Amino acid sequence: MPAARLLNQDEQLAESVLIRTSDGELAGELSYTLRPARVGCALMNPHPFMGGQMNNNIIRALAKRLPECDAVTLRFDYSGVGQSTGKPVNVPAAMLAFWETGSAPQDPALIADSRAATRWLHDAIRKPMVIIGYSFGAFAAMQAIHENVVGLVLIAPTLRQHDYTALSKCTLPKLVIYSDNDFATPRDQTQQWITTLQEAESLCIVGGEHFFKGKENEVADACNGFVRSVTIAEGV
Amino acid sequence: MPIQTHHPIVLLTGATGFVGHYLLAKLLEQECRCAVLLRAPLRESQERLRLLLADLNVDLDRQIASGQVIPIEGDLCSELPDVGELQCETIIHAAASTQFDRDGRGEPARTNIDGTARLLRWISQWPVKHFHHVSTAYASGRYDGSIPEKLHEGPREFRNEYERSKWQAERLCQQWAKEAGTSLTIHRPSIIIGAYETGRASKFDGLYLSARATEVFSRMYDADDPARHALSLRLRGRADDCQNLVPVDYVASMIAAAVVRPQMCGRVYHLVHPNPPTNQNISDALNTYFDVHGSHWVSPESFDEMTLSEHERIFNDFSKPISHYFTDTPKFQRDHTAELENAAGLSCGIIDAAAIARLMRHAQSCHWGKKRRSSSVAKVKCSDYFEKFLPLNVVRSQVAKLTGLSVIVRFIIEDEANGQWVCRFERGLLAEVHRGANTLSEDFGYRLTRDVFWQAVNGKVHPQHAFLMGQVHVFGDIERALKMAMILHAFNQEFPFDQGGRQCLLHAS
Repeated sequence: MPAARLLNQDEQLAESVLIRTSDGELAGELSYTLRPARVGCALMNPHPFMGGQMNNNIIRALAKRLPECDAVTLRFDYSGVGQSTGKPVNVPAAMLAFWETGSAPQDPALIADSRAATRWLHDAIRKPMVIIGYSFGAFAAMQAIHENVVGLVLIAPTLRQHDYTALSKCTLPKLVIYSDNDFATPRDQTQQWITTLQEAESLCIVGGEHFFKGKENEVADACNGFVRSVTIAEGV
Repeated sequence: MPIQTHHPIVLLTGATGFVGHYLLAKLLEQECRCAVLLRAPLRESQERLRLLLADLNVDLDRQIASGQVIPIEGDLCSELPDVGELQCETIIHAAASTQFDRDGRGEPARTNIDGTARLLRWISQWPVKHFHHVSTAYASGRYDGSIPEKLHEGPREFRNEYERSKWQAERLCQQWAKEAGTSLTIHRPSIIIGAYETGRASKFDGLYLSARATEVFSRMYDADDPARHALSLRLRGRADDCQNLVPVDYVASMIAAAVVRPQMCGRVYHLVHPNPPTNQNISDALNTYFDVHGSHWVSPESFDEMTLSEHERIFNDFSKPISHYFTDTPKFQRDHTAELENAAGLSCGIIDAAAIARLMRHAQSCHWGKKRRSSSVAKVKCSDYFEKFLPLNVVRSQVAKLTGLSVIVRFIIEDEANGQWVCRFERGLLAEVHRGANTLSEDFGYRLTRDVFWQAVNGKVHPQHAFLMGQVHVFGDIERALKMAMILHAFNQEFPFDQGGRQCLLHAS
């Protein structure tokens, strides 16, 4: 038998998990190091109709980088995406609504998935939580906040497609990451909206478009800084 | 000065790189014994090097058998082996990442900074007399005035992560050489292009990106289409500014010349062209070669970026990574370089239209360095898909019926002659298909290669993923283009253009 290898405390581990929901199972992956966890970070993908899977470039970069600040990250696929089960979606019919409005009939189910995943992570690690949502995932993240959530990161929130006004009453620390040339998150509209938020910092990534190709580390650096500051403020 | 013979072993990193393999050939020509650091698995790296050197008429197997080349398996980004008895007095560090922006793997810092630091630690106990570091003329970052051939102090402002990483690597080498008491020679080439006489290159970035865009324009129009001579293309930059291009064989010859002349080591060399071509010279040469016209340079101050034509969007997409080099064109001092040229009897050939044509001929002959797929599907023309398969099947498609879209979509297949189609969908039916540039104004469009196109229409690649991987470029309304990509994928799964699709076409004809 091969000798067991001792793991370095800083070495990153990935663990596949299944999250039960009322409609099926969500396939997910935890990332962490052997150092004691200080915070949980639930990562919410873009819309499945816009390439939203847990192997998305930004979601993957965050899962890889956030354990640097002693976070346990959870990324997962929404119902019916990848290995996640759930009610089948009639893609062409749903696309008709999505084409016109940016919302699809199964969106409430995706938001329910986000809530289930966030709860599941907290139950698993019993630590304060930061929710990080990207694109449609920002809209889902906003609706997955619960009493153990201590911070919220919204990356390229879909301001043109969804209503984020409810967030103006939220007093949690927030970080908004946007770019100067994004079709879903127009810069001027975003900057105006940020002024309506409480406890919000923001970062504009020049040339990031909606997809932040080649800018993944810049996004991850900002998220790491935010998660560190939130955990320090919480005395974790 | 006499040239040394019977040189001790030279260790070369980056031997399979663009400059590296030319440099190895030049060093062997000078009878240097070279240890070359090659990534694991050694057999594969050695095979790659063998093929590269064969192009330069160097037989690697024979060189290894005679002991002139000593392959060493090791990776600057992970592990370096114990080579206790290897007595290298000269190190040439040519390994580098030329990635301009930081990527998910941490390049270019991973190779250029961490890799250099690892190399320096590795050789710290060796009796090294001369360390040669291959850097870049742009390691100075932004610079007012003529850039001197000396080490640059910080802090500096850089145009990209590549420049920053090369500057930091120079500083690491400087610090190490000072502590080790070793002579440090820094070679700073400008924008490297293919070999002067043959045009041969193994890497196609820099100049080749704007050349590629020009080739795409030439493919967009038939040879007799007057539109190819009336491009709507403003180029952002000053026509009279110079682009410093240097042939790879000149760069390699100059580095080898310094290596075998210890008396000329311990300095910085700007391996740059003394009379570089202007932006206008280059665009004229490319336009002539590809037989397209209509582009003109507009100074950055008066360039309106809000209203880009389709040609301008395509050009920008291709040349984005190098766009600042059109507008920020530094001048370099080259006194040391001129001295070395005199000592070695070398000079840099004129980069004129003929030289650029040689580069283009080679680039096209090897498909810009891209491997060609030889699938049977690739033999089918894209026109069969747009002009026969789509009209036949969209009308039968449940996906098209359910979504019922009215939209105009343009497809540009880069490597297909006259490879442009516009499809107008009306309430889920394909109302018309036109080939070539035409007056139909698209809502959005996709630009991709033939290989990616066939993979997508066979349902093997999801068009959205291809976009996220950078294999498909989208223009116009990006949001709708991505939504449409989802619908196209559903259609491609409903009617894949594989065996069934082709049989379907046969029946139809």
